[in-house]
Amino acid sequence: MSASPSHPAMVGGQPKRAARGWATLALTLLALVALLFGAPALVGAGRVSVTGTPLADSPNRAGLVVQYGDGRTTYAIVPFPEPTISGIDLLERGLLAADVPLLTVGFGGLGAGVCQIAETGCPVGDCRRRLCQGPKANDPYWRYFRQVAPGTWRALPLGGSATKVGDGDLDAWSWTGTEAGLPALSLEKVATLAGATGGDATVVGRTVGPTDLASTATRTDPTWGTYAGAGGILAIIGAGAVMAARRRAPPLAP
Amino acid sequence: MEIPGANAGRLDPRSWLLWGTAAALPALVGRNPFVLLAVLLAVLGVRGAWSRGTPQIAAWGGLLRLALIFSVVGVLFNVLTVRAGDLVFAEVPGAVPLLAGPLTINALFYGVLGAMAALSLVIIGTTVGAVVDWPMLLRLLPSRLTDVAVAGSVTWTMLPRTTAAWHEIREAQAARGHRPRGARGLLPLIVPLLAGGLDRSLTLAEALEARGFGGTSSGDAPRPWQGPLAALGLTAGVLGAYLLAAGRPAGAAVALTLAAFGLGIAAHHPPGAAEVVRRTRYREPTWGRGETIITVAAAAALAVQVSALAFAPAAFGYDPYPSLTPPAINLWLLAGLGLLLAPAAVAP
Repeated sequence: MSASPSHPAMVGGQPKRAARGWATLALTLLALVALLFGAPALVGAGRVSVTGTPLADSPNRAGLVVQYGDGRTTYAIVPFPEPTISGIDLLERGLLAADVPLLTVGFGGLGAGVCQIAETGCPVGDCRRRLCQGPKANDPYWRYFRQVAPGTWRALPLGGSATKVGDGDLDAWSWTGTEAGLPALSLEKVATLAGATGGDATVVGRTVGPTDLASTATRTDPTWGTYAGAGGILAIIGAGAVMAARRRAPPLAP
Repeated sequence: MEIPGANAGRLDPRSWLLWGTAAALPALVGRNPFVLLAVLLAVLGVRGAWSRGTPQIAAWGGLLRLALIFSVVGVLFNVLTVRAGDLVFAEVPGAVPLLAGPLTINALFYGVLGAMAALSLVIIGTTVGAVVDWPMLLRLLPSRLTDVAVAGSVTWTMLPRTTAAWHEIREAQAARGHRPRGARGLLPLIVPLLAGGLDRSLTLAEALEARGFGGTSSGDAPRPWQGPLAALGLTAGVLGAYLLAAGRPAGAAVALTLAAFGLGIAAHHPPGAAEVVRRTRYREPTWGRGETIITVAAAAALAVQVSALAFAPAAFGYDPYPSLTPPAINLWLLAGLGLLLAPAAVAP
């Protein structure tokens, strides 16, 4: 599997093209590795910020309840200066205040779909197909509700992007395939559960429930030895591919 | 390294189909960057090694370029539509409809992984499509499936034939001094392409008709129950595939067993048919060292992947949301994927 000295890639006009091709491949692989390991360090300062609105003069406020289906619930009170905001805006602002990560995916004109809140939900790939719902009709997914009367939670089929939230609304996202499973709540009670003090003009949020459930998912990162092993195997495969592609050149015409 | 029994550069199609299955599986089941990179390198090596002695591979170049374009579009689509991830590199202003929001490195990385998987699948498909000896594959199939296989091979070879015809027409028109400018300039190229395509279709249809394609002899007539049984078998197959995708392996196993049973009976020769219609072969397929090397390597790679799927499925997966974390690494799996490079060692 060694390159012959009479290989056309080593004489005439071929070497530049071959070298350019392999250089492109090498740069692509380098960019992938850099993206994989270097990107967090390079852009670590650019964290998601979804609020940024001056809340001091916010005349309106809405409540948010997120129920994870495992005993935990996040409560948030979101003041906003606009006349209305979308359900997704309310969710983003409320979860940011409660320090809970949110994963959504865009569906073009249909708006955004909620895939994952904290560790409850599914990755984007599955979310794009069925919004995390399993094959059965009552399998859970992130379902959007609004309290229309004390204790009566109505599902909002238009979704978070198309639903307008106004002053005094109380919305909920529940990991369920059926009913919301939430009790009667008021804005004042949600504010208390969220940890708001009287006259609070900022977004406040808090998760209550069994705290040990939030960190059950443990992961073990690969060691440097494993990385070295993987790099070695990939280098061997890459070298084999390069040699195989170069070795099979036809002999030059006399 | 010349392999005896390599059948003048054309290997047994069964070994190529097994290799294609083993190579395509990782891209279908996960987005682990290390796994995808190993597969991509291996299939690029095989394609590079075989492209020298197989000019048909170049005919698929157009599809590969198209796949590259769609991969870039896919990456952009992912970046612009996924509003997730903790590493923001830009923000689309709120005035832009549909696209407003933060653009993240996480979405970019996941888009690149999706593009790698799609490219791997296209390279595998085009390489196998170019190197497989289609006539030999038809001869290896059971008689009942010959009609389906002929139709499939005609469909499969349509794109490279059309590409070759396009190049020929363009060269011929250029030799006549034609320089395409604008949409009207394409007319002298498209009309002959369509006319040539129709001509080729008619010639092919006549050739198939002359060889009795689709006809049945009195002794080979299907039994009345074979048609409905084949339809039921196909339905069960589709149902099984759906149940498998929906995460119900028990139901999928039952449905796929029923499908195999139904299709097996439907494809079975009626007793005595073999005596009435006898298929002859001008050249018997040979099995040489080249086929053995590819088959053993592909089977080993497939076994490693199935074991990893059963005992460590996380080795195939990767999710860069909400944080870009190091992907899982399974060294045994990566080493097993290296075996996919085996066809490069027996290239003509």
